[in-house]
Amino acid sequence: MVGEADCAKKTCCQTAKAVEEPASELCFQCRGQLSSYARISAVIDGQTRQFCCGSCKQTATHIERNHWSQFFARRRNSARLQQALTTPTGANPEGQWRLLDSPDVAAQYVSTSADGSRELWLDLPGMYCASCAWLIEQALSKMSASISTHIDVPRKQALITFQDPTLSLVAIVEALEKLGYRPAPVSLQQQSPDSQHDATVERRQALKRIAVAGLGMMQVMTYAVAMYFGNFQGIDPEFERFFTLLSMLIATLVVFYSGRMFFDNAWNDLRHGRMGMDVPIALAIGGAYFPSVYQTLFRTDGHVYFDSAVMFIFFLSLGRFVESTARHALTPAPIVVSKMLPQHIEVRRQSKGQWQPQIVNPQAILIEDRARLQGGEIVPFDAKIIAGSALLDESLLTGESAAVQRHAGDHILAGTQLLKGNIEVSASTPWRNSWIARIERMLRHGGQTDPQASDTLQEAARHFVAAVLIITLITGLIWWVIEPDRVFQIVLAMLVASCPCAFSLAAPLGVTAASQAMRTKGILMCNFAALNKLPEVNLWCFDKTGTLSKGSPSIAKVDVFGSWTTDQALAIGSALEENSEHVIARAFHAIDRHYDADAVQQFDGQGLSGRVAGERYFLGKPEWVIGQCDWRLTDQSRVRQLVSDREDTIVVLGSPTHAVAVFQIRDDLRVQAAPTIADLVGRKQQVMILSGDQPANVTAVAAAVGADQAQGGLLPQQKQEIVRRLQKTGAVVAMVGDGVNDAPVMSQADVSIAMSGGSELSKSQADFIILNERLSGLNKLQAIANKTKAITNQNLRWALTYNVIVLPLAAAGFLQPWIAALGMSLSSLLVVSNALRIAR
Amino acid sequence: MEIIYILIPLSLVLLGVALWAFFWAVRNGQFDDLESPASEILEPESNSENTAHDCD
Repeated sequence: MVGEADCAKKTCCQTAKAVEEPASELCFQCRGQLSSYARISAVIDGQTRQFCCGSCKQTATHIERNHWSQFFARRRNSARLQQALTTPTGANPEGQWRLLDSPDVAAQYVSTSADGSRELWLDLPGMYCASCAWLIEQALSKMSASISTHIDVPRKQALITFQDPTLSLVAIVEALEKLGYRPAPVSLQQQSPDSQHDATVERRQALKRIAVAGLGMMQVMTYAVAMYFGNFQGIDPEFERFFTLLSMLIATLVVFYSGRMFFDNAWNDLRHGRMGMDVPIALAIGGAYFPSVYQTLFRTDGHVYFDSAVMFIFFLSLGRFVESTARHALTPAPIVVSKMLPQHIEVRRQSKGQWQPQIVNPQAILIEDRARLQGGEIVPFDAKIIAGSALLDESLLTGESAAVQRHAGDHILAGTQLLKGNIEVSASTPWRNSWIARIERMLRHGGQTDPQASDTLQEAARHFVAAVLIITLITGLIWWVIEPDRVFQIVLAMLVASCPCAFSLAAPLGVTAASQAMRTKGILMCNFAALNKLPEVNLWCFDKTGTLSKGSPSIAKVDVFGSWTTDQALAIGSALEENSEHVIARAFHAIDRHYDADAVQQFDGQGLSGRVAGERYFLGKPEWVIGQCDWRLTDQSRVRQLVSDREDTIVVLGSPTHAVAVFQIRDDLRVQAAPTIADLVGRKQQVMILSGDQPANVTAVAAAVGADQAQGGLLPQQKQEIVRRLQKTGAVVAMVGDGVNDAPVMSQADVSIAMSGGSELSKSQADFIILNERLSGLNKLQAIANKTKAITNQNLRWALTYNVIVLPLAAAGFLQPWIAALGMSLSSLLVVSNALRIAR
Repeated sequence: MEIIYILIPLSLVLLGVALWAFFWAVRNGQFDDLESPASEILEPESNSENTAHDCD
């Protein structure tokens, strides 16, 4: 099942490009690319459709059987939303939740309300769009009449409410798994401090503030225009007074409702002895508003600045809202490695000389706890095999792509997957010392030492603010001596003129525009600070499997002998390999089975034999197959000839009397791998491959793509160590990775980039995620970062120049506060429109 | 021109109504998710038809 897990859970389109009627080379279900020898098809809604693997076909036929085929039509309409943010980790979660129905476990997940209905929250990371939500609702409503589903698409969660006390939670989870999703119940503990909820409340507050400020601004501006023109053309004093009073009324509302945030922030900053950005903003707002109130109520000769006050508030709160929305939308929730393990394990624990069955969390495991594991399960704790032997897939943790056979006495690690076999294990370490807990610690550690791209701009703005306030104070004092009447006007003009609005907008605007530009290129920016690092990067490290290569072996070429056809050879091959979990066998899983093989025998590390349609066949390494059979010499030499010509893995199929076919199997490099690396090298960047795979494979790939250096057989810490050493020598490292084993090195690197097909974990660590799995995005990435840096610097220079020029003018009394305010708005507008150039 | 003494307060009342409507919409979660509802409206009839079919 492992080969299929790679593609099984992408129910929606992989990329937005697959919008039209599915092209023949795409899998109908997951829209993944089909390899040229894929031969799996099924009739869906009267049309023959191609699939990349058995479980995609299974999911699609399951959907059709239940009369939900509208799903296929629907999802086309919402292709825009189908960005593959999450794809499977490669682990098969079968049975991860199988103990969910036991009362102790269920109590952790299900809440019961007063009317007896029960509620269960599910995380659904595979859900991208509303058509998924529709499908889920259909599937669940079929299970019980009392069930109701609320799907929260942006949060990728479902709330399931049901009355029926007999309804099995496991059945719910399984029903969704059948549709190709990977549901994970959310425990009550996780639900209570709901940060998402806070974000919603905050968003609503911000929207209301903006609405009040915006509408208020329009009103006040209208009156202000009337009064400006009145100054030139003449206006009745009573109308002017009326407009002023109205302006005051509305400005009061805006200042105290929408502007409160700035006063609160400024007060907070001051209380903690900081000079925040909000201090001058609050001073400017207060400085424009309060004296104007005084003017309006007690004197009638001066100018009022209500329009400036509301305009500040509107533009600034709008800017902050846009920035924080982008931030919220782009930051994926942190994910912990241990989530990939079964959350509840049935163990037998020794107490008072007796073995007692118990259900525990992986974190609560004790040394010597015993458990029985079978094929498909994920090893829940570091353990020693005490009985049996099994084939294990350790790729998740070590990066080694070939499955390994482990026997009694061997140690196995939590997070590896049991492919085949039955074993009895005994826990060898407590959770604290387990491999997976160490990876988690490394991640945290890496995150801490990660040089925080210190926000020098914020720092600079702070100093600027402090300096301006001092200068304003001094100027005010000087004017107090020279001409006390004008002090107020001049101080206000200075505060407004010096407001570092444009300055403080420049950086966040640049980031927002850059993230927009990246999105259109299929790249998601998760960490804004990394954008500043990107132009400095001079060393690019790549993981191999899943990053440079596609990560799943496929049949690249079939050479047939005699009168055999390719289809026949493929059919026999897939019948034999159906029973094998060897990595090579995954290539054959993309072919429909027409035959069943019997009397299948596996020969460790060599190949297998079995009877298909009454005839005996051998499939495996060339020399082994030749040795087993009695072929004509011409066949033998042709096979040897083909083997020596090829660099890829070769598998030979033959019957005892004659050769049938030679399969060339390859983990294809991504098409853009070589051009992308050539481009990087062309720009004087160093390129290095760090992989957990066998050194021989890694060197071959390095040669194929043209990388300067390559190291294979690396453990996660070793990768991290290499990067740390390189950083000490002055390299600024960007890591492009994929698997869980890349997560530590990604947090160590200055900039980390994940492929969207990668594991949840590496993505949660990544600064950037390439959504469309096109490596060529990397070059665009740096181009966008460079452009952003250039334009942001331009903006900063402009903003600074403006402030530096205007401040003396204001100090000298040449500037009316309203001109200063207009200038400030125009300067901000200029910065905004300049930043928009990034997105173009 | 005295008419503005009526018209402007009237416009303010309208403003108040608009704000109230907007606040109401925000409170009801109309602005919480601006993306998925756009694609949620597809084929409601066949939807209910299907559910009925599944129930019997």
